[in-house]
Amino acid sequence: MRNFPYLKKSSLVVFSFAIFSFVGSIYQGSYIYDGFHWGLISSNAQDLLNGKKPYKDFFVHYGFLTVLLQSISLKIYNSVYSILILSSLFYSVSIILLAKLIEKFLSSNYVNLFVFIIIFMQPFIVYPWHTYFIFFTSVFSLSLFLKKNSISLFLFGFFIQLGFLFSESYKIFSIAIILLSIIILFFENQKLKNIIKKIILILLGYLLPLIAFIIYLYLNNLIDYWLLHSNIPNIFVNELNSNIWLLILSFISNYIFESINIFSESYYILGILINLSCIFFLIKTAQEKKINLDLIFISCFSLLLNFMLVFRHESFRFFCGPIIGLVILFYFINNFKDFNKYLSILILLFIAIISNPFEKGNSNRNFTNSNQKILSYNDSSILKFRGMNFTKDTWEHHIKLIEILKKINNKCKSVEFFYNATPDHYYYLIASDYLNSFQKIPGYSETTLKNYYDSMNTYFDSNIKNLMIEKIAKKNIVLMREDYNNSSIAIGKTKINLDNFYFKNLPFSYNNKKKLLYIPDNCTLN
Amino acid sequence: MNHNYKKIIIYFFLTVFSILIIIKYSISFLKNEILNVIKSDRFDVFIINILDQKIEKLANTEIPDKKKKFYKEKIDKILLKIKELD
Repeated sequence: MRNFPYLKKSSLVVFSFAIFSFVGSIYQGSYIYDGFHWGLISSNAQDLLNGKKPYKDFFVHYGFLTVLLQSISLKIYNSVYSILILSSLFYSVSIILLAKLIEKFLSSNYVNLFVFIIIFMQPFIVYPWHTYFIFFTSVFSLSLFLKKNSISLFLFGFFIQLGFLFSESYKIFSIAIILLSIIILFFENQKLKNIIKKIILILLGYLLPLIAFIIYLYLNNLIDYWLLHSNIPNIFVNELNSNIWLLILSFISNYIFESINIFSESYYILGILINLSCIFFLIKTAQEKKINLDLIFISCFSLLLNFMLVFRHESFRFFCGPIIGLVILFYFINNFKDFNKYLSILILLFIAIISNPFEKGNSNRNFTNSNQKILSYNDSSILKFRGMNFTKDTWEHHIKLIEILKKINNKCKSVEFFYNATPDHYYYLIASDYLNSFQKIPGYSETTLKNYYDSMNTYFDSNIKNLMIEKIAKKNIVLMREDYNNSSIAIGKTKINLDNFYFKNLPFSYNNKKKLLYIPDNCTLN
Repeated sequence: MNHNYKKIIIYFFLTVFSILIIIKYSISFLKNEILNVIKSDRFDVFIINILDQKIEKLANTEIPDKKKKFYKEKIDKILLKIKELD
């Protein structure tokens, strides 16, 4: 390290891991075929690139900024692969920032321990999801708040707001954190004038991006459509036949009962330890005269981030949110005497190692076994999947689809639209290069996920049924369907007759199963 | 607490944890190997060969009437289910 005196050993460990995580996430992700999740976000990004209006012309699942950033990456490389790179980059940078945060309060040994825990418990990204953007804004804004100068406080508010724009599920959290930061400022021994100045800076940072976003919506007449999206949480809660209080209750009981499965769900135990240490820290602080406001803020920040797990308790959500509370857990361990300290570290090491990222499970959901990798390869003929590695049957399935779509484009000028009646949103993404679509949600299901899509359509695409009746009557549409060989297509409770259509089978593949492309009978392809 | 007791406790946990970790990783290794075999082309060929062999064997051996009846009933039942789709 003689040539790099400024580079500490722990920094080298963190940077090495960040690079490992970045490369590993991309490498592993390239073998994953997930048309539902990855297809959804890439279709959204493609819709924005195609000039469609967010919220009005297509459904924005989480936040506008997520779609914007992903569409920029899609513009650069024009493949799902670029979105994978983007999420991996955000995760790696967030890991570095969190390590820096730990180093601010504790010795470099704890940074190494943190890296060790992440290596075993969540080394790579799972989905190219907004969660990784939220992780970045959370850790970065927290670091900015702790600096407490004018610029950093302004940026703190700014990045908290960006978190909301990345995912609207961040709304209540962002308001709570801004309020908490203001309360913390009042506890600092400063002049009132100074405190007010700081509060104004935070609020200015918080409101500026929101105002810019609202101006954008207003100029494009999108405000009403955006407000409609605030119903998303209700739809998901209704889907589960539950309410928010029951969800919170099941979240708590999940924490308690799932932690018993230490072999497969060891991150639950880490979660319990982190949350308990944050709660205990707050209780302990309330009884003391000398208080550490920074650690109080981190405790509250971490506890509030548990909101990410209430709807669905998944390991990647935990490692993009409440994991920040590791600072508090480490702080307690550091204050233990020798024996207790060693025992605690030993238990933490055990929890981490038992998680095992070398199998498909909570710590590494994208784990692909070696034979699968051998059988997978990249086919450069499909631009949207450039860089991705799929098996032969999957490539053949999609190549056939493109072949048919090209023929339709050349031979049947009357056919203008594509409708995806499957939950594999990749079909929508691929077809958008050849045909138009009026679907706001890029998929549908006539079978297992019918209820989910029907309730989404009720709110966000209520006119879909009428449009379908019109296009099918005009015979200017092709439909991708699951293997549901029926002469009518069901949208909600309405059945639309497909007598004037014939279908072409797409080759069966393990990932896609059997799919049928319905084509109007006035469009002959042979 | 006595220094020796502390040492014993640490060693105890170390041993228990090590055993559990070895068990977990061994099971995981086995699972991965099994999945590797199942998802390989060689396994597909193996299954097809076995199937061919069984069909061949069935075709070339005397089938008792009781068995014939059983096969007919079951195959008819499956065919009926397929016909229902049409």
